Amino acid sequence: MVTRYFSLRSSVLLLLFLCFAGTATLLAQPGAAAYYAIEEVNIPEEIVLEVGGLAFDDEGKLGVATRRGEIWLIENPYADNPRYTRYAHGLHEPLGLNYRNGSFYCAQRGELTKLTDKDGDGKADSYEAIYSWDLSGNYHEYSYGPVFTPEGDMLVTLNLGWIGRGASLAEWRGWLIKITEDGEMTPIATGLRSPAGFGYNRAGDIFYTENQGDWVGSGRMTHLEPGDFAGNPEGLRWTYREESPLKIQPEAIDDTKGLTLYEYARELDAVKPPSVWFPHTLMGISTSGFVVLDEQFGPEFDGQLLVGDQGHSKIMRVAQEKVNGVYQGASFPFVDGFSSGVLRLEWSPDKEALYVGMTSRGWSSTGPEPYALERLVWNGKTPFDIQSIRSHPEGFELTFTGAPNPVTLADPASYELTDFTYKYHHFYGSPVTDPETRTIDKVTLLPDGKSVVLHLDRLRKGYIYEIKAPGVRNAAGEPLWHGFGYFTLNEIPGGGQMAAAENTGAESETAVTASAKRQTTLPDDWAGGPEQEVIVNTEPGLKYDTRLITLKAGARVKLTLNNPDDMLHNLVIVKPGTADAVGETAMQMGLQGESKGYIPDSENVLFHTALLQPETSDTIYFTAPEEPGNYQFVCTFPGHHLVMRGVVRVVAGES
Amino acid sequence: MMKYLLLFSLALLAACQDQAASGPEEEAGVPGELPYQPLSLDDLSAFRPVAKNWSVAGRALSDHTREHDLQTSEGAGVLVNQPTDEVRDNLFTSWEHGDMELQLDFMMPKGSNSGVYFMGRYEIQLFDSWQVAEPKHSDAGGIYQRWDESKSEGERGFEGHVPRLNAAKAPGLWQQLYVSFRAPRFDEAGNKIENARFEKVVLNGVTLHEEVELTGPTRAAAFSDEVAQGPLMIQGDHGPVAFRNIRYKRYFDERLVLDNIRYQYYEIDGPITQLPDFDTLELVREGETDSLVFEKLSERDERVAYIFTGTLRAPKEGDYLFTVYSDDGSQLFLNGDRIVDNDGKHDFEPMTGKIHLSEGKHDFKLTYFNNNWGKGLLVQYEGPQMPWQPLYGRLPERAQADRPATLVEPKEAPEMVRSFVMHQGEKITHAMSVGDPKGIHYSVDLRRGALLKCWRGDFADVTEMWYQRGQPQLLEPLEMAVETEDAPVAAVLSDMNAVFPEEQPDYFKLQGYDINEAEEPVFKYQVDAATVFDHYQPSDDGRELVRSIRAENAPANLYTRLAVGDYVEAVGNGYYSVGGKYYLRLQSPAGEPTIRRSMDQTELLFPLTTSANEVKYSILW
Repeated sequence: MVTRYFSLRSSVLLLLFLCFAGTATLLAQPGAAAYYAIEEVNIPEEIVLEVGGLAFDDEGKLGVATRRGEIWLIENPYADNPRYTRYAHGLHEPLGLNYRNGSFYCAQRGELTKLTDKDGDGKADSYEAIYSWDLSGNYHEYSYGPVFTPEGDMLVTLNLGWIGRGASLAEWRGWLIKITEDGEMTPIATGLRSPAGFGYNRAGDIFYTENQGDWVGSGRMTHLEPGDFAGNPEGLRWTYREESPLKIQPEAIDDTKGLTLYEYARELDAVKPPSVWFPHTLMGISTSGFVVLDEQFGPEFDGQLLVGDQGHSKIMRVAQEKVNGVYQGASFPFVDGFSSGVLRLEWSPDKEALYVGMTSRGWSSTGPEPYALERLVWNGKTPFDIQSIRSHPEGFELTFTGAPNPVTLADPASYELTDFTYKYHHFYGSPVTDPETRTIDKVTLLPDGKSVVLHLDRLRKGYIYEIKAPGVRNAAGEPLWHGFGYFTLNEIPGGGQMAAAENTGAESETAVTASAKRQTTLPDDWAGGPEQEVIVNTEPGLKYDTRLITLKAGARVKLTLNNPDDMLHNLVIVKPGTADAVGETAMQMGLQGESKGYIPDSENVLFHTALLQPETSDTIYFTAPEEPGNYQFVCTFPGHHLVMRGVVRVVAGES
Repeated sequence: MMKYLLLFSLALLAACQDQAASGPEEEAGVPGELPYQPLSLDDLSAFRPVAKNWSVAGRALSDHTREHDLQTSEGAGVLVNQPTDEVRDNLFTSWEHGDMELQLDFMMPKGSNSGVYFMGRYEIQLFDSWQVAEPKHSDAGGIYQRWDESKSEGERGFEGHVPRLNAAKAPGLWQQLYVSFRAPRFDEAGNKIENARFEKVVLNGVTLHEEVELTGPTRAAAFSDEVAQGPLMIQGDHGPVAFRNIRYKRYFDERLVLDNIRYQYYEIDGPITQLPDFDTLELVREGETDSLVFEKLSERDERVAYIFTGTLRAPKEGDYLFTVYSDDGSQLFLNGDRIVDNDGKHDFEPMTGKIHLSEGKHDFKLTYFNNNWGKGLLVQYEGPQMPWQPLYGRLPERAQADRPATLVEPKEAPEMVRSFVMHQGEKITHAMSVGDPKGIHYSVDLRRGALLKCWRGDFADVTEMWYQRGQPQLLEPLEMAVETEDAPVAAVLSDMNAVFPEEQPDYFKLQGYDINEAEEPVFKYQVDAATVFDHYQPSDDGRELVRSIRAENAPANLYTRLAVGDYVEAVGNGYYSVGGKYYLRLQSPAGEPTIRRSMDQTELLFPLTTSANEVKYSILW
């Protein structure tokens, strides 16, 4: 059930934050509502609508498959009080829903099921098991889909299990598989880890989204063709089977070579590097379902993709291109502020509204609700922003929406570019690796008046380009709505003479932050040890297990932060009333943020831990402030500071 | 005993963590506990001489519809009581006990009554409580009340303990009882300083009581005083009853002692994932200590390693099991031999080793390391007449989140839930449970069309499925559930000697299920060329689970196996007792069933040959 008190409090915080953020930040400006509205679809109190799948039937009713195994049909979802009917129930955590020819289809944990209401009473009376696959009984074995192929078959993706790391514990887990209506199964591609979102682009090619984790440096989108290997080696344990379209074994993947995934693809044919990366925390943290845009949000975005993010409760935008037969493109921010973790996107039958299905159970999201169903609509006004980025033999071609001011457009100083890559290794995620600032040698204005070519000093194939345009203005003098994107450069038109650069290849674990404000060993002059010992644990849902730490003024304190959660967290002690300011500064640290542990250079920061990987801990020693008062402690990982915080009450010691 | 408390709290710990720690891991061949002592029922020599209402038989059966019905056949292994008005002694063991664990099976005929009195003084009531809606202390598994004759009417009975729920089976079925009992304690002057206690009472797999203190003997005890040791007593003057598989462990006050404990403390640079080579490390500190608690031996808890040594004194010779829980890794050595290897970077998890120790002193060495965060070290042991207990050490402290319980209640129509379900200790991954508003519920394995278990009353607890990420995704019945022997609903048998398959045959597949007018699922299976329809519903009186099976396009020799057990015996009124686990009644038999022996078991088979043949039967438990 929805916990109202929590949503109220967090809504207030979110509101305060939105008002506070006057100038451009990495999150949506208050201006989001000027173009796109998020409308809530009313959910009755007693229905736990943890959305796993969304599909409209042929009568305009919205089918919602929930993680509790139900399929609800919503009549008039746009009305104030839509009518809900329970169409089916008892399914084992379906995480996808589709509809055709009078039947719904869903992938449950262990089965692809077809449901039909034969007697027309509004409830399914036929549940057909089209195909059943093995499960090991691991809770992490989620199964997604189906997506219909043009031939009428069905695509399903299978998540890896989790045993402290991702593992393929049953047949074909970590694979994209195809199943016919008659129940014939063909394995297509592997290397998948958490393939919660997948489907076709306008051109009819299959893509899937991946989440940061072991072997996966950051969220990304990959084009899949039969026989492809997308990166996580666990699924390779099934390639010995006759039906497998690829034959490489798990041992073929060697991360001691220090290659990026892109470089590995040059060595091993089956490896398919991503087409678009979503840099972690800058472009979400857990990419999910996506849809193709036609013109319903303006002709400028026709053919692009809208991609959901579960952890940051937002939707991003992707512009793709194909160069030398290879997909690549840019990811852009779009709209955030959804109420829970965005998992599924589905256009309304009239294509005017985008339904957004959400759940955050088990994986905390910045949106505070445990589940939600909302609708994104456009008011007809196109925001002034980067429309698309395309690769160019000498750099990049950018096109803007609206009417940019040509002076700002042509000025190299309007732009900032940095390129970087990620490591490809068995560790969880990857820091931003080998970043370099690029110099813009010149800017060429194109005849259409809204496009430029940025000519760069150097292009590194296989790298990701952070492209910002903070100096561009429109005719009215306004800045761009978001004004940045991340371009994944796999191919350069005309081949490109610039070869991929060498990267360092050295292993690294947590980004350790050396700082005077983080003392990790017992100070020599603390005879008798610390006077106070504090242990704080993180909890799922962006929380610490305590909201109040009480310290004696001037006391010698030993503080340990344990992070059993599956996200990155830290603990920063700041001066009274400064948690918001410090949190926001941390959010603006951009690409260097992670390597600095998201600790801003600010005198408001008193003491801090390192940024902790999941299931690690950090112990720091410090002397409590002499001045009594209500200091604060907060997690400065981007987006967390709004809710993940508490009070450090420093009280006067005995005289 | 301690071990169960520990496992219980560890289960909570494991449930709070994301990593799957599914329970104690055993070194190959090492048992989880030392064996119980069986009480021989070849004759009555384990008991004090007693009147002839007690005897020994080969088998017991009972017609659950007839009061006090108990049918026996010659032989040994089953203890039988058939009292008359004149002859109705209670039965006492010839040995005495203090702390003990007891397991036994009992068969309670309709309307009958008995009890097990620990030390002849503290009774766990045995009763025909079948279908009692609100059990009392005098119902099956209750801790019987105490009695003060001197009080006025209505106030004489006190301190009876009601079982947590009614876990009783139908009369005439074998029921399983487990009791962990702790005797009262006395000081040197003979004054009682601690009450007797039932640490745990489990009936048919359901825990009824935990940590219940008894201030004195319960009503109708054989003795009115309290002492340190007493005989086990079984009540014989209230009605017929049968027992089998009686086994026990008695505990005395001996324990292992670890003396002269010394520690060596090392610090490691950088992360470690297994026990270091101590020879290459510089000793930071060493000294004497009084336990295996390491936290106070240094300020630092991360990237540390310890060696503990000492002298272990065993009070008697015998087999000892040692379980070492540690986060991270550890190893235990006795007299230079490594008996437990729990090395590696992991959560607070156990490994067990077994060793035969002579009486006297032994060299003890325990190595341990912690990389970071979670830490803890605990050594437990079980020895001859020594229950599971710690050998100095401490559980790590972790706050345990309180989970709100999520239940499924079928209100107006049946509710289906597909989930993982446990069956005979294994996880069934493609299971469905169906709860009916009439209160009869069941779980099936969809891959084999096999009935897994059924229960009566409230439906299901699904908290573990729908709380946070849902680990371990199990649906738990809210009542005592009887597990049936699972097998595919239908199989092709080439002849009457062919073995009925247990696993899913190649030609067997779930097609799906249709929902009928009563909103019940009717399962459909592809079995060779046939389609087999399988449907469950509650009986009209809401007491039995009725199953109907029929086939279309059946090939020759298609059979369904309705029951399998040690025996399948008619007990009267059309019921068969299936190995004493549950009753089966044929409702519309399509011909005569075939009862045959196969693989040392008795099976009840029916052919599924034409679509007109519906095999219909019901189960009662």
